[in-house]
Amino acid sequence: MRDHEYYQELMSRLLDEGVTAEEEKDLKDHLRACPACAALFSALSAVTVSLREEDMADPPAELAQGVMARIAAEKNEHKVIHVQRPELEVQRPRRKKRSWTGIAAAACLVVVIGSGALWFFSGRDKSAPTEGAADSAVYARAAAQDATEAEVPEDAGAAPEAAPAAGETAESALFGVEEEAADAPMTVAAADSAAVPMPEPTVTTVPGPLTVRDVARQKVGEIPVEDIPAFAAFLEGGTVLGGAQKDWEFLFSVEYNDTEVSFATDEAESRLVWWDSNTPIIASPGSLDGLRDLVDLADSPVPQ
Amino acid sequence: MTVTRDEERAAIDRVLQGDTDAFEALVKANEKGVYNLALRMMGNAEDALDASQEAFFRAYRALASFRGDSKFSVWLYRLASNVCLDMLRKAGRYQQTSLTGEDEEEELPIPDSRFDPQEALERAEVRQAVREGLQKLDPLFREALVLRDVSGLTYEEIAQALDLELGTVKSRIFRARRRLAALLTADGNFSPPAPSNERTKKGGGEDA
Repeated sequence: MRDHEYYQELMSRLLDEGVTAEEEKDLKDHLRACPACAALFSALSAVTVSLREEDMADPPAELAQGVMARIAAEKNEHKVIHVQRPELEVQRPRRKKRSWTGIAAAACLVVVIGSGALWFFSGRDKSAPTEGAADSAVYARAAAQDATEAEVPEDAGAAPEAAPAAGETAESALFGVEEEAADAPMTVAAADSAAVPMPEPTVTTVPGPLTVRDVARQKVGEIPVEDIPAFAAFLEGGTVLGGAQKDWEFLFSVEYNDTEVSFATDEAESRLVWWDSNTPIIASPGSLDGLRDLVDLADSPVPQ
Repeated sequence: MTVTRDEERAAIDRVLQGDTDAFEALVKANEKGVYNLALRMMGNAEDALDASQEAFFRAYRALASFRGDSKFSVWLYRLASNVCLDMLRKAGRYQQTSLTGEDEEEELPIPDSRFDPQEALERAEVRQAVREGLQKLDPLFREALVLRDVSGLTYEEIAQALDLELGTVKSRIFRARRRLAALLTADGNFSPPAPSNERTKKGGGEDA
């Protein structure tokens, strides 16, 4: 005589997976002879049938909507993080030896950020330029590295051979200039006046040594600063940042591919904003080390 | 909404390549199963909605780790089940009893074998009683039982989803059913129907 445990295991299998004909007969015989097991089996069957028969409830529509909204929100957060990242990957120029190579590196740095800006807005029917910018960002990074290494001979051996050529390619592609690589620093900020009509020749009224930043400031009037708070509100989930509009300090702008990329920081330097044309981007703290380098470089004398 | 396994894989790949909208198809194809699993685990619609959304969101984030070793739905149920257990734990509704089952034999009242059809509750009432009884089960027993009888997973799939031995799965399901039967009997809510010689198959059940 088999024990109850055996029959209980058989009951479970009967409910779930089926049993052989022989096992079924065995179980039936036992249930006839054992009221306790028969009662247990009828209870187990009822419970199981009841659970399985219960209609599946229709999930509310907000289930899928909520999931997709949350995913979209997270994706936007990631976009901002991604925008910041290229800047962090770029090697900083050595500040003690700031020179034209340093400026070239800064130009690349800016371009890399600008590429991020374009990438961010790739959803806005800018697929072609974005692709180009992404490629260029890679080249620009190589160029930045090259620029840094050129200052430090002991590192020079590590420089990829293709880097100088890549740098030229990147700069001509990005800035739309066909000059030699030596002219690349001229593309920083508003110094590339040939391609962009300057509003007024007010440059001469700026006292002291003229800096890239000074020149850039001449152009601040062209920038639709009113757009910034609204965009900030969009990125911050609907909260307009207090005093954003008046607290933004314009830093400078650069130009590539007929697009002007401008930079500003808030008063506390806790956020960096840059924008191309009418599309500003806010960056959160974390990018400010890079920002200070940029500002330093922007204060460099304008090349003659 | 049903999708083939190939369509499912294609949608997953699209999501992984950045097309997050493709995830919606995966949600739509699985939301009913996930939601009903959560509903039985949590016992109310509001928590079930929260748990389902959280499960899908975790699935989205962990999608790259889905290798296709199991069905996507089974993978999702595992996530959903974990979310439910987490939520129950946080809400202090997680009263885990001994899983060894050693103490069960003595406390388990054997259902009364004398069955009187006149006293049998209406099916709807039985269902209600089962629904309520389910919430009194140990969450780990409930989890195994719900995956089997609500989600329709096989023993093997449950073992895979919960990372358990097959024997443990069988044992938990059997004990969950037995405890549920006992709970209902003890509550006086339930008189078992007459023993049936017909097999009770999934989805069937006009025989009780």
